[in-house]
Amino acid sequence: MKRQIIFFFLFSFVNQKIFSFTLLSPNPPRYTTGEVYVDFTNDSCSQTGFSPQYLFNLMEESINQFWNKVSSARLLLLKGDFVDVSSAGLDPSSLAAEARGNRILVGCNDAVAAFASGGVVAVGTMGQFDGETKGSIIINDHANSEFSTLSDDKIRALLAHELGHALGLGHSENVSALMYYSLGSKIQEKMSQDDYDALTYLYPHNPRLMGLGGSCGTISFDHSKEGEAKWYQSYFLLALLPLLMALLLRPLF
Amino acid sequence: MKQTLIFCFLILFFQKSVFSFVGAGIYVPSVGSWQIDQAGGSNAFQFNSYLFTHHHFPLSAEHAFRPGLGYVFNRNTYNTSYTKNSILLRYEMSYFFDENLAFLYGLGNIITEIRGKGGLQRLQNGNSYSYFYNPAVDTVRSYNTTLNLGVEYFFVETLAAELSLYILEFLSKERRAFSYSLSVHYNFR
Repeated sequence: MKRQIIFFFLFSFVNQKIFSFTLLSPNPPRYTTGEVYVDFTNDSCSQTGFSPQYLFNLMEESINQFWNKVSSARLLLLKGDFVDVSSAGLDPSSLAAEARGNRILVGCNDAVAAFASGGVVAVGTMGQFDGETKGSIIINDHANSEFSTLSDDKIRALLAHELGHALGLGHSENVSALMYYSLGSKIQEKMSQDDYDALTYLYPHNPRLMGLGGSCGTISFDHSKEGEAKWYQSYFLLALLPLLMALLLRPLF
Repeated sequence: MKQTLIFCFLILFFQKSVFSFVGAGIYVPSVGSWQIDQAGGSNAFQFNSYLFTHHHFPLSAEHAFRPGLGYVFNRNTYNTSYTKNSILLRYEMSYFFDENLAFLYGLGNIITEIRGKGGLQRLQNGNSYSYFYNPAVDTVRSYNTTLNLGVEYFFVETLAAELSLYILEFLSKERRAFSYSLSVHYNFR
């Protein structure tokens, strides 16, 4: 029996992985809407090797492959529009200020200082501007950019990583994480547990029915009102109704 | 609403043949949803200790209502910026095929608790290093209603094993996730 107990505890420590998410600031601002749209500038992105439309489509695929899979978070990212804004000469913070409220703006330029080396292929950030939360991503459009050498899979993972920054996340020390500082040679097809936990921490599902219930995946156009569901909209109550009826009718049988 | 729920449970407690059980096992969250290595592999098994208690309210010879409460101790030993645990509320029914085997079905609520450790981390950022912030020392809870399915096998009258599946975001094709638990429980009859 002793051996079994020792084995039980030893086994529980096998294959330990480090889970660690960080944030860009001590308490990053939140997007106040449950659905956050990602827009694209009218930049040409000529040095990236891809058209803006192609990049925008990859962005949508990236959103659905990664961030929209988190079952324990209420935030939903959606593809927005091309907007009549240029990121030329702007740093990430300045581009974020140009975004519409509660939206993320993506552009291409060669203005970011780190872009000249070519190794930094994109940067992302977010913040509060004029009382509204906004985010931005700038793709390296410098002549030395290594962006044009990336496969579609790598680009999707890269865009998802920068979206993480635009949501307020920092880097993770977990090598398997989407928010690890480098893609390198790894295959990134999903997020890791700490990426999931990060989005859950920032955008948790609200409780329903006095905390006895929660989100079950209903699609609402206004997720900001998630916590205001009426008692008769609770699926917990729907499950309880047959039991209540059985209890009330039981004395009759 | 609260009064109605309390009234229902009071009625149930005065029924005959009501018994409780306690159990322990493992809980595996979001199977196949997370990447675990650089080759793109995803999670299939994670040893998280799970303790729970249930009450068994017979409604007929075959059917019973078995609400329960469980706590998952996630493996946080090596987490450097936060800790995570989960609370499971289970509102399930059981259908007994025979005296040994029961099918479990119903709804549940998984409350995911994440608590930050505070402080800073110096991590690589491009070609240099930057300081990033650990989540603050407060607890955030996220609530998911789940669709629960399971089987329960009684070895003897007081000892049983249970395999349960919890489906999160079950109405959403994109966000649906599957967790499961494997446990044994002892009941006090």
